[in-house]
Amino acid sequence: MSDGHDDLTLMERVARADATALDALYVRHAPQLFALCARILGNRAEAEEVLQAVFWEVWRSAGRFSAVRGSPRVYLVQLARSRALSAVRLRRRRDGLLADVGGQDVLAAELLGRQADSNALAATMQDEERRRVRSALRELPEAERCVLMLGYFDGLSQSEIATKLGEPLGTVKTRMRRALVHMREQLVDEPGTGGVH
Amino acid sequence: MNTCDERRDAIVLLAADQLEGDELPELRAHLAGGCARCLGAFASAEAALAKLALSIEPIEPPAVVRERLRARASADVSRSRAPTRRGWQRSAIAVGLAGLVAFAAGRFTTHATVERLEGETEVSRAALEVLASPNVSELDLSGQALGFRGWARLYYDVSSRDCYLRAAVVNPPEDGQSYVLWFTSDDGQPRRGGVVDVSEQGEAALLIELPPGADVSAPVYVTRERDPLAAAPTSEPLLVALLGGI
Repeated sequence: MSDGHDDLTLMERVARADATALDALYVRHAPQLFALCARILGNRAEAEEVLQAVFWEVWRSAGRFSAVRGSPRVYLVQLARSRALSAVRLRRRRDGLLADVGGQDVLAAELLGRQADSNALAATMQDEERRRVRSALRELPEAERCVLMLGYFDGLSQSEIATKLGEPLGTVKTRMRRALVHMREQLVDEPGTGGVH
Repeated sequence: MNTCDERRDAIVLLAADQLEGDELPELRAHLAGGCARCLGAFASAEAALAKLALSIEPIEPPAVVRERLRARASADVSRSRAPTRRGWQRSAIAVGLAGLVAFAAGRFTTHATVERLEGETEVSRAALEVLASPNVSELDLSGQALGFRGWARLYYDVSSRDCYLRAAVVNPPEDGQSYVLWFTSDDGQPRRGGVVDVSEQGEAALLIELPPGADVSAPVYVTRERDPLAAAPTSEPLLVALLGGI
């Protein structure tokens, strides 16, 4: 992934209405954010709209960004996820269904990178981090991974997950808690490095 | 009362939007109280969870998204630098549209055609002024009812009180029915905006002045009405404002 200090500099420049800095930020992060939006929305056209809306929101509100709360990358991922989930929740309310929510098999194939293994990229920092994330996911029991994915990528509450999977709510809560704690322990940055990437 | 150590698991659930029950208000109140340790734990949890996005292989978005963003940002910079923005924009738009009308008049020689184009041009000019206004606010409306689809965006110029609604992918209304845009007054009463004429392609545009007493921060919605001149809505909203937009 890009260097965090550069991201901070770019955010500062965007806050001063530097359009080239916004473009540079876009080049760095758009592919990952677009993939996230496309995964959540399951629709490339909608993902393009959300991606553009996310960067436009960055343009309009970069002055309010605070590095104290987290790095620019974390901010961008949270913003993209939030906007994509808002769009998908609206669609679900309109359709009255959870039918568009991704299934366990799809999640397993998609998120564990089986499709992407052939695209071995240079050993960049981002690839290292990607491997770390996938490794942490693989370590989870499948039932816990499924619950985590439905919460994170589909924005389902634990009650909705329980309904979808036909599992008791208490079981889902236990799995969610275990999965999240595991991911935190595996992925949290060491003091001094957090919030930079 | 929980200790900060006991809150660690709840914090990661909160960061994932998965905290429910009594723990949620308790933890929110604790964080709002400014506990540095728990706020730090929350930021760390958010950062760790954001990395889940990395589990997906990046996808290069179409070049047109970047081009649109660059053009939009550049235009925004230009606008903010122009000292008499509204003045020159009005002139440029007027000159451009006058040229368009003249060109159309040369091609289509009937008087009726020119009159129609002039009328459309006037609407386009007013709509463009709303879109180009430095004081424009946007509000997204989305379909909420079963069996209905469509979305719309309302552009509201705070300075002129002009509103421009663009809708797309809307099911044309059934025969004898019309779509009507409604605003809400400060005291919660409906304020009629106007009829939203939907084309066969499911698109619509409506330029109106904000009704007296209407508050754009209150609900804005579209209903299907048998009487297009109804003074109050008689059916459930089909399109409603998405607070915060996307």
